[in-house]
Amino acid sequence: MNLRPAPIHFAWYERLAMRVLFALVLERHIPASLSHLTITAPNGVARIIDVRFLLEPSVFAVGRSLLLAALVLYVLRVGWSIALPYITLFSIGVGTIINSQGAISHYLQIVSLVLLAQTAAHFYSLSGKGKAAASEGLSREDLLVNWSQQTIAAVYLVSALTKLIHTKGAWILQSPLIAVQIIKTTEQDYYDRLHPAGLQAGLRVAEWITLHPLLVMLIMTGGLLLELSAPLLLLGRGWAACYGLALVAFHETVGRVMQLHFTYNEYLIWIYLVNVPFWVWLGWRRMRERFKRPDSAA
Amino acid sequence: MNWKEAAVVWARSRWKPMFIFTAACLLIGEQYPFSNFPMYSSFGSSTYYLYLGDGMGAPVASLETIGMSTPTLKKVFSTEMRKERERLQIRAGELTPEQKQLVGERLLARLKNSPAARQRGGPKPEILRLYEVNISVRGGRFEKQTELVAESR
Repeated sequence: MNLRPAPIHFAWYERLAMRVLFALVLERHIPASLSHLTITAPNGVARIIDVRFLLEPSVFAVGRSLLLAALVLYVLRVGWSIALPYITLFSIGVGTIINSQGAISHYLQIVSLVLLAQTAAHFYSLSGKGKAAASEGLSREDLLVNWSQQTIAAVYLVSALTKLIHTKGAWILQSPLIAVQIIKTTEQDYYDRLHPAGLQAGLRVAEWITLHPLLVMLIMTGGLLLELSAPLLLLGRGWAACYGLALVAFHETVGRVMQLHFTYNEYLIWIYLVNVPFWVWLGWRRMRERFKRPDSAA
Repeated sequence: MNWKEAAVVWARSRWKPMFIFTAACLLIGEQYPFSNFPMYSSFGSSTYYLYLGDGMGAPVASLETIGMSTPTLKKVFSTEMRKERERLQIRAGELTPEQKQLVGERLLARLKNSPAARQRGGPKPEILRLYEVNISVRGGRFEKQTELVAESR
């Protein structure tokens, strides 16, 4: 088996779909306003730079309008040297403020990291070193998509390594204790809005886990291995699609059982890993070849 | 493999961005946009969460009152507890119930008047209480203990 990431040449319709869908995700990941937030525990760049100016509604409105303009440029593939750094800085600025309330959330990092990778890939492709990629026939946009995939792989690899580091490798053995966490997240979900709908289901799952620890360890091993082997998704289109679907199933399961939703992770997985347009096109081509009338072939 | 050969292998590697992002996330840790993604990276036999109640002890929907979810409420409280431990130079051990109550009262006062509460929250009860629920599992059975941390008028 060749363990070098396969350079993939993406067709125009794949790249267009990726740009449009990622732009929609980027528009959505920035809230309409930040004026409801305060910076009580500066995080990231907020520890060095005062980013409170973004809390000012008028400043934020201008920033958001500029974001929309930059997203249009991004989709049209025009002025990326300005648009990409701007989108990246704005995303990091907003994410920094959201994470500077004394509570770190983990649903936005993947978007800012992919943007950071795309900006780096763009400037790398403009540099002399980037010509090496061009010599393999990779376009600038192919490189951007490849680096985005590598960033997604890195996010899952980091998550797996942290589990092993924090537990000195004993994460699997500890995993049946997730039952306590499920009770916690279920009841937290209830106290958010006092909707009792999911309470009994959460309790039942937690009780089931305490009764079947070995089976739970087996399931959790699958999840850990999926994260740990995420670099394999770089081996080609098929690997990326299979890993993408497995990761979506993983997130959906975690979402249903623990009320923890990683919507932006799923969006990026669908866009950059599963890549539906390619498989639709491939399926359509295969169908056409199969049902092609013999006389028309002649 | 000497360092020169290693440098050549590195230069030719197509996995560089993934290695760089992996190393950056692990080394920099929780500094946005980087993160080592520590959620549920270890499990203990006990945990806790916080919820809000009114003067009669009845639960109050946190999103609809202070515009903040209960997981965020726990994280914010935990950060304030850490800050208080640092301020009091407590290196090991926990805060006393009285110290914890002071942290809770300050936090409730701040959350009741926060921009999030004003813009996203609804009417607030005259007395707002902060409760802590400790959950543990022993011998396959769950145990829960609820205690009042602080209240704000």
